[in-house]
Amino acid sequence: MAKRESTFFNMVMALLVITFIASASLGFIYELTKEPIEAARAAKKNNAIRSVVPVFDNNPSEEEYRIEVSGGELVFYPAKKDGELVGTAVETFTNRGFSGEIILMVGLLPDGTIHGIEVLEHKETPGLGDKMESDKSDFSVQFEGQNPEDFRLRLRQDGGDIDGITATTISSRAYCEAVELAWKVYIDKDADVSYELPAKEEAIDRVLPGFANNPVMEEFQVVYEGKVYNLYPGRRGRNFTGTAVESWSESGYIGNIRLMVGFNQEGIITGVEVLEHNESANYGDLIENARSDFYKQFVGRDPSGEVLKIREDGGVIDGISGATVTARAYCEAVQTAYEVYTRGERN
Amino acid sequence: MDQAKNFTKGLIRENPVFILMLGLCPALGTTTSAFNGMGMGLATMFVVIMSNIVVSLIKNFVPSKVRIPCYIVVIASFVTIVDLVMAAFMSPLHEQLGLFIPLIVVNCFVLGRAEAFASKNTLWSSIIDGTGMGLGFTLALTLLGASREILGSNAIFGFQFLQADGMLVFVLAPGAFIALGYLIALANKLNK
Repeated sequence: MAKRESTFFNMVMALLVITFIASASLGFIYELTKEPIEAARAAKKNNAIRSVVPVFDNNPSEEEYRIEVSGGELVFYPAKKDGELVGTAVETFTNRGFSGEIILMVGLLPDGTIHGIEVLEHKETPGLGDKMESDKSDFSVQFEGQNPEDFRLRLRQDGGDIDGITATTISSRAYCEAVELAWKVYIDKDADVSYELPAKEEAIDRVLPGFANNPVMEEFQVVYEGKVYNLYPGRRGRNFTGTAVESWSESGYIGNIRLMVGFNQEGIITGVEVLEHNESANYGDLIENARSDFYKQFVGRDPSGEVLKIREDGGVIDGISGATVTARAYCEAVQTAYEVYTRGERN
Repeated sequence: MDQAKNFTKGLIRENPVFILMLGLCPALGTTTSAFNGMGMGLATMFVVIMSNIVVSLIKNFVPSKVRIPCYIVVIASFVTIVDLVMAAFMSPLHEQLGLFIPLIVVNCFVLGRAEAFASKNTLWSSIIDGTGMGLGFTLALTLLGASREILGSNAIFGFQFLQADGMLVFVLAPGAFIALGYLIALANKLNK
């Protein structure tokens, strides 16, 4: 048979016939594999449920319930024995893995104690991030038998009780976040699980000690080195309890970092909250109070006697590894807040 | 045509990875262990053989101006079939290779065989060519995966022979390039 010529009709016919046959055969294969694929998925899920909760005799998949959280939803599989709840497997997730989404199955006992954890899906680096799988390392073992009520689901370097996997900080951190999300929502289905930065009022509330007035109503401006800063005084009755200073640094890794820093009468720092930043996910964003304990190093310090700089710069603050520039800018903003508080001139 | 020569050319003399340097993206991406490399190699081999058969059969029906889209449709169909069948019956392997299976479609080595060989040769020669080339690809990926696994994780086919941390770099992307470089040098030496 001779080769067909490239006439318009021939080309259209060839494409039409080939795409038709291709789609027909794909449809056929799809129908054929649909059930086995679903069975494989269900089997995997059931195995994961079985390995993270105590022995049960019901069908947890039939009694599942879902709770919406920001970014997705959690699926709860209650495991019961003789009609009594013995544990709940929670399908939880995080989008902050090194290569995207990580899906875990976390088994919780009725009081919230972690019974076991299995990884359902992830795309982390083979040989590094995949060590979080329970058959590749003992990473998940340290969660077992712990109740997050008195066990901090954070890596040690972020102020928690978990030993991360070497060279796999981001995957380990994401894993902890997913577990924490499951636990928080299990304990309280309306728990605040978003990592949104606090609004001004909320930040003042967190950084200032026991005040009874409305500091926002009494906002005043102070000028320091040609720039205008907002200050919020806290009072209880006639006594000043402290002042919150809104300050910023322009030398963040990506743009400005805006902080709310609280001082008491003696000039001691009572709290720091991040109001705004554009720093990189998983590195710079660790300055957020919800993500690490970096801010705690500042609380209770007296900037007149202590150098609020990271150690490399001769100060007393432990920087954030991989985010030196961000940590430096944060220190700078806290220092500025102190200068404004002590030396600024009322506008 | 000498079919024995046609078959063996894919193994060393015209090895798709080491000599032709086609399909390097999956070759580098999936070969973190010998098992993954072999799985990817076999999946690709299936696609090459099947698409070679079909392309060889339809070569006279397809006008030359639309041949590439037609071949791509054929290849994409077989890749989807592999994807579905693996998900259904080889779920653990499918999870490991998941991301890379769809990438077989854009593996220029598969299209390369369709365009350079199957569209010009008989059905039988195309099957032999696909099998030889597919085996060569599998061999290359398994070798690359094995050397990376041995150096990077002190293991081979999942069997840990030394309880110590390996050289991490070989598990990561740069190690893939380094290992591939040495294997190419070796293949060139053997070819002389």
